[in-house]
Amino acid sequence: MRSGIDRTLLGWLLLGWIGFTVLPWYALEDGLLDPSWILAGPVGDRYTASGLFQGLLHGRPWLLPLLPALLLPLAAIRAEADPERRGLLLIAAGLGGLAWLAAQGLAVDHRGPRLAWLVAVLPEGARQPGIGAGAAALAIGLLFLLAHGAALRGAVKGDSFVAGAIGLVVALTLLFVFFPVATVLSSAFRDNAGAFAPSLFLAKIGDGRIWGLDCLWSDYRCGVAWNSLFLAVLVGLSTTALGLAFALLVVRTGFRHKRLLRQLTLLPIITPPFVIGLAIILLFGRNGTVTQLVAGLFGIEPGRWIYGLPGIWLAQTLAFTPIAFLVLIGVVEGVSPSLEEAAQTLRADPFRTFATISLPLMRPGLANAFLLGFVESLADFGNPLVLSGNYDVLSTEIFFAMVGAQHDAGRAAVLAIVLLGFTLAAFWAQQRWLGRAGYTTVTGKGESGLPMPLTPGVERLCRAVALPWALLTLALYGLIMVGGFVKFWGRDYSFTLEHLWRAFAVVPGEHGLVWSGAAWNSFTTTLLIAAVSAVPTAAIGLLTAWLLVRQHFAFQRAFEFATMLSFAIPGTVIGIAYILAFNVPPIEITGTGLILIVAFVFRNMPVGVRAGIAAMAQLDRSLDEASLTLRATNAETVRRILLPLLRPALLAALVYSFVRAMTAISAVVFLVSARYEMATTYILGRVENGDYGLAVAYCCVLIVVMLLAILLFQWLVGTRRLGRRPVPVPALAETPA
Amino acid sequence: MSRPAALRFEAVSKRYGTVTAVDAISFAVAVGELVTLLGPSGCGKTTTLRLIAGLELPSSGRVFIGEREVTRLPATARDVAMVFQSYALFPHMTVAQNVAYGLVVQGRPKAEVGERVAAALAMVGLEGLGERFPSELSGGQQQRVAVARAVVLEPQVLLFDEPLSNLDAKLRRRVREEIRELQQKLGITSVYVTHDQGEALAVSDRIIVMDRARIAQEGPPRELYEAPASRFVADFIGEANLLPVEIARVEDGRASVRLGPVRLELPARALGVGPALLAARPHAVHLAREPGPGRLPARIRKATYLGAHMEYELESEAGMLLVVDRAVEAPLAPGTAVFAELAGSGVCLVPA
Repeated sequence: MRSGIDRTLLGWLLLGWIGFTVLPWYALEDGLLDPSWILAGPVGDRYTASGLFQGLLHGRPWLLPLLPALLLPLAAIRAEADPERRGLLLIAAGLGGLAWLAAQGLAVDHRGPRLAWLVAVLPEGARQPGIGAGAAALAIGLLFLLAHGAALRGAVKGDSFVAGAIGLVVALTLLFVFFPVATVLSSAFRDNAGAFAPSLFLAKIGDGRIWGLDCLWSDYRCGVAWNSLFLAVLVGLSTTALGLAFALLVVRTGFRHKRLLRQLTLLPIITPPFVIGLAIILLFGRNGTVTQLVAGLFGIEPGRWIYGLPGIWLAQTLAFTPIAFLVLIGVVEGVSPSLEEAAQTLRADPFRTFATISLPLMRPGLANAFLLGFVESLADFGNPLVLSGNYDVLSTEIFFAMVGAQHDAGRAAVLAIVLLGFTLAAFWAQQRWLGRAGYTTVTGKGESGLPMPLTPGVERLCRAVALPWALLTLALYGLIMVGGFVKFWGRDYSFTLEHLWRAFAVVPGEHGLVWSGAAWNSFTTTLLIAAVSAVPTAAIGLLTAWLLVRQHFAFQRAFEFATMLSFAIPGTVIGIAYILAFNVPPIEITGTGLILIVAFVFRNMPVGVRAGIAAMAQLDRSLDEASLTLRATNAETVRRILLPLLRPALLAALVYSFVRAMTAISAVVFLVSARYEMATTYILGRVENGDYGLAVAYCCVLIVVMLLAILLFQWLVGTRRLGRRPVPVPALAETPA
Repeated sequence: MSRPAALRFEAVSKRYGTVTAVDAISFAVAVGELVTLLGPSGCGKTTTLRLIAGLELPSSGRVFIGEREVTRLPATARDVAMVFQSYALFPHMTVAQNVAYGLVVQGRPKAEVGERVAAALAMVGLEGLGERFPSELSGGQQQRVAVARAVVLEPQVLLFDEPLSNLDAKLRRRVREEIRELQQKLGITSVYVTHDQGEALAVSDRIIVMDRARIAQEGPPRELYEAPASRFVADFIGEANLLPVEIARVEDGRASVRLGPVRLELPARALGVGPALLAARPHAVHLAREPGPGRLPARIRKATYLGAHMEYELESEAGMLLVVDRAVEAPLAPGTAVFAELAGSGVCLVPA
């Protein structure tokens, strides 16, 4: 038996004590490097003191009840004592401490106590800013003490590491997914002064501007909800049809440029979402090439027809077809050739086989592709913003309600709830209905059948649909590559580097080089924040995947649903939720780089989870078990066995979250500040000012940077694959749920 | 059992929701003994093995390894080692690193690790292959690495989870012998899981037959084969003709049995008067051309030539009979009338 002091407990307790007695309790302007804190020390003043001294000396006595939560664990520090009793002590300390921490933070904010009776009890001028390093360290310490206590009492087979990991993921998900969404919900029920007003909610959610059907019988517009739904269904149908044509062409025919077509699936990953919209304007806008060509040839007055439903539909179909393609490649490949061969030996001709066996087997996959296109369309923000014209959709309406002249947070919240309702319904349908209905036709047994070639008629159809579309896609991307290097699109097509130079100029100055280009600020911020957020995204994602695949604990399904939830929440909803939740204490991080990082981590984490689950599914569970029976702990097993074997998945998660962070727009547009401007929001700003040249040139640079990142990744993984160890290499792509 | 138990289960159950995988089983394994858990898939044998390893924790009951209760201890804290069905060799480590793994995570000094790894590899005949990666070894060699990795820790109990199932038939026999030899040389207490009754008979000191989450019978291989306690065991270990019979009388432990038109005298095995089953091994049924006392008249329905012996399917008043006959030289044609004599160690009564 172990004896002496419980080191795990000691470590976390120490962190808690440092957080409470040494580190500054509240957030400082310049973080921990703020000189005022270092000079003043833990006793400090109202701004810099640690929690203990804030409570003792600086008029914040409500912090002192946290002290028992740090004293209680001392009684459990000896490892020999009864584990049940020690566990109980730690659970009490952890739960009590965390609950008090949350309660006091919500009860007293920057304006003072939020409940009337508290005003009488608390000292004059009781108010507090957002929490800082000290409170965060204490919270982390208490969280792990709680998990350790639960493990001591036999939770998750008594494994403190697993308990801690679960606790960490749950706490982060609660804090950064559920808390903001709950804030949106609650603010929808309040008027703009903050009072509870359920009748106002009913009025707002039933608003004619959301649900109106006037367009059916009059010239008035329909509600945004119908607009969004209609668009989403159209886009879902068109992307699925096109994706199926592409997938059949690639998997089931002898088409010669298969590899090239497959590369199309990379495009949406490296493309900021509004780039397609931009390219469409360059082609079909009033000054667009096609528009002018047609005007010149037929004398038709250039119109604005592209702004509205046709434009958004075209842009979204172009943007999301590769996603459907990617999903459907797997679906088409998954149809077992032996089933088709069986049908043929039963006298079905090739067309009948395709119609009665292959297509029905693909049905769940097709439904899945449709739902993906549907959700992507609902959540898309960039394309509607540049192309919507008079056709309002939910995602942009939320934005204008929040930041526009209306500045109606309540209306934004209501719209966000409607949008969230739609996407959650789709997500739920996907999980509930498709998750079970999938026909697993690929079995573990070796199958030797050859995939059946398409009948000539079907193949001709696929070619006729897919190839022009592929050419259009390539043409648009070509346009983006060229568009930044002409003087004035639509009028003067002579070559120039002027736009690129305006964005990325570097001139020699007095003290070395001066990065005088207009884009440098947002570009470096984007690179930095994308890189910084990639690390926790991959780490938390893989940790969650490990918990889901390799561990068993109570409420695991709920845990999985909660961690995947942020995937289903549209970016605009996340954006508004973060603004509403983190603009005021206790967690006040609006306007910082931190809020951008947090937003990226929790938006992209599900991708890391998926990558991890896919990679771990290929690692035999007996590897972990072998390690455990050889006396390694869970933590050691993760470090020595899983991490080395999952390195490609880890790399994929890193690169993917980096790239996604670089191209994100919908959530970010709410969260950027003058100090932390992102590339995508900067580009959108240029587009709104009609400065297409610079915008397009900047897009080019972004795409090239991301392409380089991905090629670097593929090179890294590729060289590993040449090594003598067979390691599962996950596809660097969106894995559909 | 005079030797102390190295492993003991006391009414151990494992339930997953409403499914009971292991139902209140108790058994003990003596020091140095090799005990096989045998049964069809889904009978709970693998779950039992994982309960020993600590990869699963029991829903109720107690588990002891040596004198110590380990019921709530996870795998990491138990003094057992396991050879996995898939071998579970770490693909990113060399053979030597694989074998060293358990010692390294325990923080043993480098010199000791090197020595013990070399000794373990020598023991399984893999000297000089330490720097290879598992993927560069043959299936049989990988299997031996898995064994070396387990025994290097000198565990109190060594567990084998269907260790031969990934080998081809010829190799299987050799590796089986190697495992048995090594186990006896080291005197290491072992629990071995398999669904192959031939394998179980060959390697075990004792076999525990499991059926639907419970122990059906336990005992030395010979006892199980010659005196199965139930219809299930008779049918599962070796092939058996199971014929419904009527016990007419029991005297001095011998039962007088009516099988169709004939009467037989057999050990009663604690059965009483009434219906029972007669279990007869196919090789224990002898064919004669003339009638005689205790000979069951029958007709050959089907004759199959199998190289070393003939296999006949017989039709009789008592039911169908499968018979193995060594007389390949003079096969009997279908339709021939014969008389079947059931005698010797391959015939016994089991409860109906």
